[in-house]
Amino acid sequence: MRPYLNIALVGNPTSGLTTLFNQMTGGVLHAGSFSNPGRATKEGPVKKHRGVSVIELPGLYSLSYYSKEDLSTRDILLKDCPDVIINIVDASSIERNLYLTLQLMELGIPMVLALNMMDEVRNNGVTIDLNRLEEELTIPVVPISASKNEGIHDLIHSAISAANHNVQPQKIDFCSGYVHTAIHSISHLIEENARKAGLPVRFCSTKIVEGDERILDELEVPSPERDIIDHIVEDMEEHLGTDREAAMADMRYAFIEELCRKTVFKESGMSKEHLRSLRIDALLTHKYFALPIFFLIMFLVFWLTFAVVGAFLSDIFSFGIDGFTSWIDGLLMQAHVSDALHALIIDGVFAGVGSVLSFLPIIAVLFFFLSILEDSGYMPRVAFVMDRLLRHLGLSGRSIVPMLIGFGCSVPAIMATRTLPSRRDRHMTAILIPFMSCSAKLPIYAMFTTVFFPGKEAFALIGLYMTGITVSILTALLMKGTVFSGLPVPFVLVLPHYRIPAAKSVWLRMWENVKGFIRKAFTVIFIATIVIWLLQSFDLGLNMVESSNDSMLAAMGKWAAPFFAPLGFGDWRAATALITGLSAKEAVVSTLAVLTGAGNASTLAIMLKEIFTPLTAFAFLCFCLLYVPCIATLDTIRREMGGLKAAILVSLYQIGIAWLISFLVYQVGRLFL
Amino acid sequence: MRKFRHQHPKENKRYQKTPPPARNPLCGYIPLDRLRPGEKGIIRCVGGQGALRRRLLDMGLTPNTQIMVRKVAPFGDPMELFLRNYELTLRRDDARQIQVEEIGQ
Repeated sequence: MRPYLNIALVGNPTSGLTTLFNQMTGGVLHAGSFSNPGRATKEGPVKKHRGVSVIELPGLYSLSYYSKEDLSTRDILLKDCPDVIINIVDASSIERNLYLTLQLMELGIPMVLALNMMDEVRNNGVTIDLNRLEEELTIPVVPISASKNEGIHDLIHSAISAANHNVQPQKIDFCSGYVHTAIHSISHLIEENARKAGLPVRFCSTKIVEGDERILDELEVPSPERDIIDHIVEDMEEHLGTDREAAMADMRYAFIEELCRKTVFKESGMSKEHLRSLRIDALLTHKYFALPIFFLIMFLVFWLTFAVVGAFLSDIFSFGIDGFTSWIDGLLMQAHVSDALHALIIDGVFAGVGSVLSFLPIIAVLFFFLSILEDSGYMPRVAFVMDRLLRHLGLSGRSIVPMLIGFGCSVPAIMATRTLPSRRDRHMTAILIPFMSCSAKLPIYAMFTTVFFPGKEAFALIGLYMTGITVSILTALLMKGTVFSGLPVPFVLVLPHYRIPAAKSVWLRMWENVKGFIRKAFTVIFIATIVIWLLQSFDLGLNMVESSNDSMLAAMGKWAAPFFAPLGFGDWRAATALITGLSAKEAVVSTLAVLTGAGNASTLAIMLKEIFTPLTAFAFLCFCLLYVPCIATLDTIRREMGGLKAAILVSLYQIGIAWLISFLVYQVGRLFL
Repeated sequence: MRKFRHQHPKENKRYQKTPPPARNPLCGYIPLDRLRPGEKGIIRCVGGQGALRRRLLDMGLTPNTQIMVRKVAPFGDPMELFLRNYELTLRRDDARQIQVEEIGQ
């Protein structure tokens, strides 16, 4: 059913947007009826109100034009015209938050102000004269506490009634003097154009005064009128002694300061939460302690995820999957299903999807910790501390967390790039993440280093990790100047107060990611495992093979082997293992075991020594480290970078760089050994 | 130029090499990044251009706003600022575009 009433949820980042959205919808999402701007917007039905739908827009500080994606957010408001806007405002930093409010009011859409974190404000002895605020802003003001689920009902009712009565903000004049004159003169000039384009006149004229060229183009303002506009603005600038951008910002903030003087009454200086944040920051962003603490926290998260909780749950989970598999196995046996179908279901689907699903607990636990870090307000501090280091790579401090997650698993790491503010940063980080050696590659490293570098395993491992990091740094430097040239989005970052994360929001965030992963496991990975199983079980004549040596996969391996010959491992079994490694990196070891006919680890060790020398083994490891991590990662890249083409280009780059590095390792190494 | 005396010689040299681009020639104040932690100032003019400048203004870094440098990140950059009752971080390069009048501790 198409919703009859659309609510748009707009506000500053960290003002409680997602929390409020979750309270309104209970975390249920549905497919959007808004045009998708390609960035994290969420849409869901409002609980207990049939036909009412709410969309959460990405947090923003202003409707100014910074980059294309900010524009697309703005376009949702301008062109999709929601029935009512709920503007969520963090009452504890009301001045900065109201800046967006003033711009939203110009849109001519019914609007309700949700004053969030009112409980906190009240506890600190701050009183806000709500009636006066309503009167001054001419829009309904509802005090809420999103995290405590207070005032949400009133807010929804207020929003629905504002939409039904189509009460638009009456007051849109925040200015006086020369700015006022300029805005009004321009309003008259563009009125006709704005009506034709279906855009709010007032909003357009203030943006024109600010110097937003895009609005002029969108309104198709002819050039004689543009000259008049320029003249009006120059006149204003001359009288004010400042430029257009500063004049508008100044005008808005002057209005807000005056408004706050009338409505916000403070007893003492800083709030308890503010003081607490400063005390925590004294440690967490300390000159010397900041880095050790950061690494300690990340280490704890990894250790708990991969070694303690996640591993434990993973074991239980795979035990369950194994049990389920053997149960189905038994059923199929009893039902006398044909051998081929039986093998397909058990060896193909269950083994493949099952092995991927066994990562599920790890992903859930990792996202649990990351949600806590994110909701507590620690992430912006990490960006603050690490920014200097990452700037050399053309990135900002915010990229560090996804990159570190990459050492665990690329899939959640690439999913975590969503929190980055600009497209450029998101894509660049997503490309670098696969070079952070993920934990699924550890079985390969473990196998090869014990066989070929006994006693020196640690050095070989460190060498591999460093190779990965070096390649990612080189890639960043290369891309900085070419694919991702241009200016990064300015690093202007608000440090919100630390807060205790709400259990519900942590849970929902975790659930969202887990759901995405499950969906993927049963679509892309499901198909991929079937394909690989088919290739492995049938020969070119589509006869089922006894041993996989004769399979199509082996044929492909033999065909691909010459490609790897310059790298020192032209053996078809190595090539085949690399191909199956595309499904999951763990498959490399198991494939080698199957193809060499080795029943256990010690025979595999002997067989491996026949195929590889220590040098070619290291070249092989480098290749494993750098080439396409797995289908799941590739699919995540496709989704986050918006297209199959991007994913294919990225994987070609990965294969290319893997080949090149392994080639160098082998050829240079051969000169010395 | 009183501040030069307190500064690390290396930093000092950097500023002499690249003088702050003054958008408004009337600005005779010091760039924001020259304030040290704990020091306060009043913003007098905001330079820079394009998206950066718009963002600075949108975040409330408008003329006549009082601002304090809270701290500097472990690697000496970016800086943490306090204004309009909230904390904001800026890179030094960007902070340099803002001219402030120092008002002491």
